[in-house]
Amino acid sequence: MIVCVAVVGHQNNPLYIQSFTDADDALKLHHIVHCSLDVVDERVNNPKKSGPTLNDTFLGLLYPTENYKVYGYLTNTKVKFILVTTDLDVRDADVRNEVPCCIC
Amino acid sequence: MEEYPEELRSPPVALVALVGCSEHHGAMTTHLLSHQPPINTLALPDFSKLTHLLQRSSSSPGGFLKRDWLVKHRTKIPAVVAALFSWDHVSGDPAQWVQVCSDLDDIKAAIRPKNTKLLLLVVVGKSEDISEDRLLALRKRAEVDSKYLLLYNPDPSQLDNSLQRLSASFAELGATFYKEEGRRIKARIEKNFSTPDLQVRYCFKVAVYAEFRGDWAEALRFYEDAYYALREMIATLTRLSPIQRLFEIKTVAEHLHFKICTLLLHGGKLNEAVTWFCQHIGSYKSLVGAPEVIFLHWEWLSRQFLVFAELLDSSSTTLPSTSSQPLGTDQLLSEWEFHPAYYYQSAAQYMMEKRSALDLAVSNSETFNENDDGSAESVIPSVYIGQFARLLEQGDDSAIQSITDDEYTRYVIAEGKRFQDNFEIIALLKKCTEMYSNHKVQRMGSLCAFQIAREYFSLGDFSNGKQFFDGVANLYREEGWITLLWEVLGYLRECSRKQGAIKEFVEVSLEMAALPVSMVDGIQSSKCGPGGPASLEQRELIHREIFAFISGEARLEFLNGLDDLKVTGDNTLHLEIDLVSPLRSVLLASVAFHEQIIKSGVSSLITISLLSHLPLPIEIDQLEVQFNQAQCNFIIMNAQKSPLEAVQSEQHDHRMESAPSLTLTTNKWLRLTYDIKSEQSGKLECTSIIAKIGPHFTICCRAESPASMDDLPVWKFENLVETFPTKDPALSFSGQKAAQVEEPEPQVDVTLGASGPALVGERFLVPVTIASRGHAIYAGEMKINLVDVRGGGLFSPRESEPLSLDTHHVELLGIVGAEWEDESRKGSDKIMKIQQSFGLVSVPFLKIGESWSCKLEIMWHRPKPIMLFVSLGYSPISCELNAQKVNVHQTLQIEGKDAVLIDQHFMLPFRKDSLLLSKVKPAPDSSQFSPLPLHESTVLVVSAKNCCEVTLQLLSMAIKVDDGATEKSCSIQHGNEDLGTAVLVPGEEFKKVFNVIPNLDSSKLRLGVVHLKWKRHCGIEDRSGLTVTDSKVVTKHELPDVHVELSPIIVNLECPPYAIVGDSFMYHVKIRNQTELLQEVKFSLADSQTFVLSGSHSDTVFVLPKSEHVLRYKVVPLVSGLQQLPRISLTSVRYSARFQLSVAASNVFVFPSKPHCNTEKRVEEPAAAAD
Repeated sequence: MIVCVAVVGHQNNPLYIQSFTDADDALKLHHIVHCSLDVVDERVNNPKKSGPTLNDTFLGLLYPTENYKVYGYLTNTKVKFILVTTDLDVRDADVRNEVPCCIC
Repeated sequence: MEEYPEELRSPPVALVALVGCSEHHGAMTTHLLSHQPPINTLALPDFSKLTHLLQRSSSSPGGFLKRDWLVKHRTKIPAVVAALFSWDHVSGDPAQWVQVCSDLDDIKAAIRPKNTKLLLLVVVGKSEDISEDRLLALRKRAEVDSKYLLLYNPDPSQLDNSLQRLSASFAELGATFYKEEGRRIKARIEKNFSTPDLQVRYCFKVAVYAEFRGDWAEALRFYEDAYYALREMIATLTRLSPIQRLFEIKTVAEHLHFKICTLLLHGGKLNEAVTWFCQHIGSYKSLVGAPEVIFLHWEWLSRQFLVFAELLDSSSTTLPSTSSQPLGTDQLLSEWEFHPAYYYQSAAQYMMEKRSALDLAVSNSETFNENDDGSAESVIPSVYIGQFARLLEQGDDSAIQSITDDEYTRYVIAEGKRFQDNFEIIALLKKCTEMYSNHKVQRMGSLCAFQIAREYFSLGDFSNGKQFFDGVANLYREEGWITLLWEVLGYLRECSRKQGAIKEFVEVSLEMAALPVSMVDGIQSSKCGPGGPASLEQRELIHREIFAFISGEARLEFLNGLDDLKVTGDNTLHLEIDLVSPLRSVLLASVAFHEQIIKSGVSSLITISLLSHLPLPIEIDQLEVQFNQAQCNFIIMNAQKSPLEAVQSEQHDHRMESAPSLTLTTNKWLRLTYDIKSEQSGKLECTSIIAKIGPHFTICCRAESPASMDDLPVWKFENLVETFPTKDPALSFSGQKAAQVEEPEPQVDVTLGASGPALVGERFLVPVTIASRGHAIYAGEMKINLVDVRGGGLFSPRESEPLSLDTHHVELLGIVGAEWEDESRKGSDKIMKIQQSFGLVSVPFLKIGESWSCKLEIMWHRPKPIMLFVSLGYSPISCELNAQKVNVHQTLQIEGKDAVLIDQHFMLPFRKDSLLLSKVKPAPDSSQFSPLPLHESTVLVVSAKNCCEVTLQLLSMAIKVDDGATEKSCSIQHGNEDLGTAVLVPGEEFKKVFNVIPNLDSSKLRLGVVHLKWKRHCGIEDRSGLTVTDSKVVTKHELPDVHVELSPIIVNLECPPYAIVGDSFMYHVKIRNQTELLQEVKFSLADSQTFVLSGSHSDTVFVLPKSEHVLRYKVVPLVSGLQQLPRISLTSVRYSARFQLSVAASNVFVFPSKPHCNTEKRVEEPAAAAD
């Protein structure tokens, strides 16, 4: 289940953030989204590390937590879409298809 | 990882025992330890010790693994026993042999149950005969293969060989032992009738034996088998005490997992290790166990993460970097899972879970077990890993008794209470922060720092907590993560409240109140920090609370015991908001001058705009507007509030204004426009606005220009109606907080009255007149600057000049004619500083309409144009130092020119020529100086040409020498030095003739310096007398050096001054030999058509030394007019030098008839002759 989606501006400022769980987790999700920006920065600054996803706006799995997985999507204008899901065994390809749907 | 026993953390090392001949044990032990792989040694001095060591203890299994099993096999049970016998004993008398056999039998009996391998070592001397028979007997007695009977020679030459053989045999026998042991246990597994407990134990043992012999692959396989066998047991927890059983399983699983991960990482299989860890956690994460001891589960999980982090951390140096890990497309691992910091962070996270679960368990246990019977005491770890038991002591005897789950629970809670987890959590998080900062992972580091800060907060260490909170808040502010910032500020607010730091408390509270959180995205959560939920209501609550406090209307009830920190008369609160302060959203001051350039003393408009994002309107009591010119400061009072008397008395010297209302509404500019007038020229800048709210609270806000005002970082992205700080939108984009105040218009004239060019050498006067038109002049100062028009300085140190004065081409000598009316003031205020190109002179006080003048005395040393700058600075009002100054500038370009150009040339006397050898044949090293004949008179003509536009009067011309040497070597004769009234108009040339007779043969003779004294010619209408102070100027010109030499031959022509057509006359050519030698001179005379002559045309004559030879010709002129006599050319054979007299020397004027020398007709005669 997708528990949080966020749109983050090119200066890493939150533009929109929405969680779909009870309020207790909302702050935690804010932290998760914020921390995932480190991984986005890392991927953007070191594109070689991202391997097969080079030149791809879909950044794939950014960072795992105990209960969530965080996926990222980077637009050409450096706006980031961050998606937090509780499905721990989800496949990258599924998320890849899912993210554009979320954006639309 | 440190809490694991050493035998688990390090790979096992094979163990062998040495018995007998203890003097050789040291060398063997050292050698075996350095062997690869190393072998540990048990050195036993005599054979009886071995029997005790290998005693077998048997008990029925009560758990998976015995706690001391690993230690036992690493330190007590040898794989090989080496029996050392001295050859003396082996080959000695029968009694000794019997003893050897007896010892051997004892050993065999001792090692048989354990299947330990035996090695025989016979220590031999240097030159002992070895009897093969006795050795064979020994081997047969010991029942060992021949290759396991070794001779050990301690002789240094043989020792190495002996030790090598020994270690090879030990390694071989050891490997055999562990292999057989492993095979024996494996056979038990394969029989498959063992219980699952035993299955785990057997697999573990096989794996350990495989490790003993370095078979890592088999070890890994059997550890995994043991792990899987254990995992299957979870489903069938049949024992009566499930809590303890689960804990035991988890502990054993933890050990197996540790071994597996160590082996995987040791083999460089990082991916597999991480995947294994994920599976391990996935398998056991849900096995939380009984709720009362759930904290054990969290602790266990935390330890798993910590140990794996440490394993990764310690192996990261040997493994390739994580970034190069190939990640398959279906690989679910991300690069962060290879990062130890991630695991440290998770360990800390679970430790927090453990702490909260433990707190709950402790409180529950205290509620239900108020009367603790102390059953938790005397519980010790059991002989099996993961089990606990009670130690019963009765006198000297002790017994182990198993405990129930209840007892176990009480025991673990009591143990848990002993440790304070906060410090461990902080240590873990600090490690994460350090690792993240090393990798420049800023945000994750911040999250860890935030968690550290929260731990400190919960411990009550507010100063440390605040330090971390501050760092985190800065990042969230920078990136505009409002919700996260709100939470951190909530903690910071609470920290400052607890510390009693009123100012910080107010600052943080105001910042929170001005944060852009609204109902829409506000988080309503029970888990929010001490700042409360991020919502508009909470902002308003904080706003009300803080303003009630600072206005003195309410006291802070929450400042328990800190009432003395309330804001009172002695304890005013002052906040500073600068350009980067986060409090800019609380109060933002924009100041715009309506005009960028203001005239001094003329009033202009200034708009002060204030903006606040606080959720509720705030009422300001008074505003103080501060400028860099303090006299412009003014105060705006709120008309709705009665002005405070104290304020009035303090600031009575400032202008007071009144505004109908000083209420700041949320996100709405409060605009205030007032007059501003400055008497002082220069920059007028608004520096700050101080808002006073309540009797003891002030906020000083740095003024900002609307044109260069930064956005508020946190409000930048909010949906707000944008308003302009000023009514005029153009001013909002271009307005500045500073304006330029112009100087008042000067009403004083400065006139520079020089005319015409200046001449080099004269003291040129430039009259300066200062006339006051409308201003009195107080404290006037006149600055004079001379600047080269063509650029470059007037000073030229590169040109070497003989005169020091000439180091400056143009020099300001002084100021003349400056008269101060009031002599008493002259001494105190008069300033006159004169340097070569700069001067400063004070101007006396002048009333309106008065004037003052002086003359600048300037001297040119070189002809060049200069620009004269004169600046007058004065105060039109008073003499005070800081009084407003007015400046007047005047410039004048003055051309500097040379007055006269002096030149010279040498001439020989009429109809005389000297043979100068240096002239005829210039030597290569001879100088270029003009040659002069020694003791002969030479004519020097010095000409002075007026090259300026001014008529000059020459006063005198003389050649002066600087010492007496020249007088002896040369005599210069001339007429009167005084030239009378020689006037030289522009372009005219004046010549004076000097007669020079050199008396000394010198290759370089100084003739001296021409001194020409002149002055400007003062005509009736000429006013040049005004511009020069001393009319007489001396221009100097140094004559070039000459070369003096003795002329060997001098030729004189003698003929009458004029001739008459048809009248013959005598023409003599006198050749004088000045040398002591006979001179042979060839001569030839060219015919001339205008003359008929008689005499020798060409011949060679010999002139005797110091004598003269005369050639005589009689000449009859045929044609009248200026005619050239037949020219004679001479050749000195001795010097091979040919010379001819000049054309001018051989000219003669021929009259057609004899002239009449009447004075009346003298003028007409030449004209007639020309006809």
